[in-house]
Amino acid sequence: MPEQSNDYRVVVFGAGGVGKSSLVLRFVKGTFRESYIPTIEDTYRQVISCDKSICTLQITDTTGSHQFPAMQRLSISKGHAFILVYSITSRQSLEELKPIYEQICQIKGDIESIPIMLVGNKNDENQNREVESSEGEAMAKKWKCAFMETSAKTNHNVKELFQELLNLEKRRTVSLQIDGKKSKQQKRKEKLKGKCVVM
Amino acid sequence: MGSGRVRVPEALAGRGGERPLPTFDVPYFKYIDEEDEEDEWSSRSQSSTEDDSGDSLLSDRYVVVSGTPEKILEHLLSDLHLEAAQDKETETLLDDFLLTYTVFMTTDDLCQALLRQYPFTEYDSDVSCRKRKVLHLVSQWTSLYKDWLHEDEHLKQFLKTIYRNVLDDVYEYPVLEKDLKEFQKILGMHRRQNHCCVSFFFLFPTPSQNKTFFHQFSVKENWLQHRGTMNETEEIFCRVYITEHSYVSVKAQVSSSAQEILKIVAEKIQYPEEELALVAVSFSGEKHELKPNDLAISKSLESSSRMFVYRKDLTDSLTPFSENEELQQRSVRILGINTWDLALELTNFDWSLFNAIHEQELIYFTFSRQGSAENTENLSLLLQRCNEVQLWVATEILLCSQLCKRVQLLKKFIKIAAHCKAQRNLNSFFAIVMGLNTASVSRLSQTWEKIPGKFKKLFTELESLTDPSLNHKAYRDAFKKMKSPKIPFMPLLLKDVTFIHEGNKTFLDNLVNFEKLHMIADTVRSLRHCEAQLSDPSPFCCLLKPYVHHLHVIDNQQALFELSHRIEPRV
Repeated sequence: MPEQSNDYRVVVFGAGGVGKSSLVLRFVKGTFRESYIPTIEDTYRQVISCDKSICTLQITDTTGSHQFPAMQRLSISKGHAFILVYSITSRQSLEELKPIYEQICQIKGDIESIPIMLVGNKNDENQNREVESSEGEAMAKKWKCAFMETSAKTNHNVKELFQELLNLEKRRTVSLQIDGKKSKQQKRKEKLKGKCVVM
Repeated sequence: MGSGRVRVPEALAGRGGERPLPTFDVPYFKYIDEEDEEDEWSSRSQSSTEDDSGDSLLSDRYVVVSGTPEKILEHLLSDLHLEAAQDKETETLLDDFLLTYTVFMTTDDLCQALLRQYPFTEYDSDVSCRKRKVLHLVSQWTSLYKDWLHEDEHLKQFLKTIYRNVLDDVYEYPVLEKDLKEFQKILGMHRRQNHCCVSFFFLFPTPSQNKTFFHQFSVKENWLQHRGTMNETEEIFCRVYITEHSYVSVKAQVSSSAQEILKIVAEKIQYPEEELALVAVSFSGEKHELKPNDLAISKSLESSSRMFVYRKDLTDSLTPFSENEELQQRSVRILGINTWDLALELTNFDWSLFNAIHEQELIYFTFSRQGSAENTENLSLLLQRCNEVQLWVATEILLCSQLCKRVQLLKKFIKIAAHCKAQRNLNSFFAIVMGLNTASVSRLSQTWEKIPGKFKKLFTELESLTDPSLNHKAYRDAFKKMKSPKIPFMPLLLKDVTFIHEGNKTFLDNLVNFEKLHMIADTVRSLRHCEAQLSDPSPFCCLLKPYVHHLHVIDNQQALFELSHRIEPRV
């Protein structure tokens, strides 16, 4: 599968109910669909344009696998960048990210070269807020990662989240420029260009 | 109407008379051939990875999209055929409904609704037909749920009422006789399982008989291993800690005595039973020795304290095992065992766990959020097993301090993984590969370097199957191609169901989003394609069983890392 060499894997972690899948859905689909079918492989893909070529952003959502530490470790070892989601309405959900962060450190080693984003989701539910933005920021500083508050419900900061995450990638090979169907044509054009040899 | 809706697709309306609008009073429908929906539907056909011939796209039919529970039921009943063969759509709808009704209505609601559907006084020509349809649904329901619902008082009451009704009606409508027989069979089946003979007159209750009936119905308190086994007691995995971070996982009945558990553990850690004692240690540090005849497993123990095995010394005082000594000494028994036999025993054990899982458990697991383990006991056992096999692989390798033996061990596990795959046990296969992939194991570069290229290649091949890319495409494709019987990698199946659940609303405009429930039922049904296989007792099992069934594992990642650094220090 040669196309996969181009894939950039983003793994989304977080406690149950913080809105991991909602964020992913919002980003990939732009909106909530009435009927959403997860087994389709394309569901978690987004074609994005990189510096020079097109690459595929793959999002691994770990929803439903909280009980499987092994599956989490598998995702970590295969992932390139990480999004750690908690809900601003639940301090507990922030606490639950700690062991996951430690896992990432353990498996990946050099944590500073890996793009990690700490995300406080459910930003729209300010009245139920349990975790202040400043606390999230402080945690991010401690973890040497970036921080952002989002709302999948109101689509606040969702695209920006992925954009920022990719900007963190030190190699700068990927940046975000989403455009759905056009990208396929572009891809084709790029391919054609690539094959053109000037003698 | 009012509570249900029919959407008249524009494309359909344009076609005029060729396709008459449905005349029945239906919930919200979607016409399958609807043109403006083409995108959505074609994407759906791509996505249907399981063979869902149930909603054949070329069919001229409507599928239920949403509706009130009662309307969906009504439609379902009107579509049922009494002849032996149902058409695919109705069969699927019936199955969807029965599998998922707990999501949008209680069992009591369904019972009441069915009673309302069962006509009493109308002098309609198709009264008998309606009655038979209700009976057909009930018999499908009870056979699908097996003894899952045995404890439900509403259902008992309902079965009783409906049975009485049928008996009353059978004189007026002789055609019901066949259904009555069927019905008796259902009730009879329940009774046989309870090992008791109650004659049928208990259903015409005098108060006291009524009581016996209830009593008989509730003899079987649990529904574990309901597929054919006679086991009357619930089994769980019980963790007996040897040291702070390592435990032996013992599959035992809840009613086991301390002595029985101790025997298994003693054998496992190869220590004389007389010199050991079981001790319950609470989180505050309080210790309480369990007497041989005490019940070892109690619900209270599980939540508030852990069970340890301690050594008795000469003065009969108790001392715990220290982290290093006992664990280090364990012989590498696995090296002497044939890998195929070992894989076979792992597979047999997984089959016994897998067979006991009721389809309903997946639905409960998804809809009742984490934390409440209600009605998911068998599923939890398999999931726990999956985690433990993975820990076991890492533990075995990391406890082996001799490099050459460790290399052999690694090779063994690669082979076992390959055998599990060959035996189509993807659950253990995944667990072993993930165990070998644990960071504390994969960092052992000295060990991996000495693995012959042939094995490395094999492992890369096996590993590629666990690649999470494209939502585990590699695994899904491979699994689809496999013949039954096969055991799926359960965590992924649960992830799929969770995703459908979280990505779609259960209720839309106060109507049940039945499309979602269909998707969930479809995913859950994939279990059926795996086909139950009775674990076949192999001749080696007496030797291997204790070894494979009760795994001794270290469940602390930090402890595993420490071991890893001890045997191959960081350079």
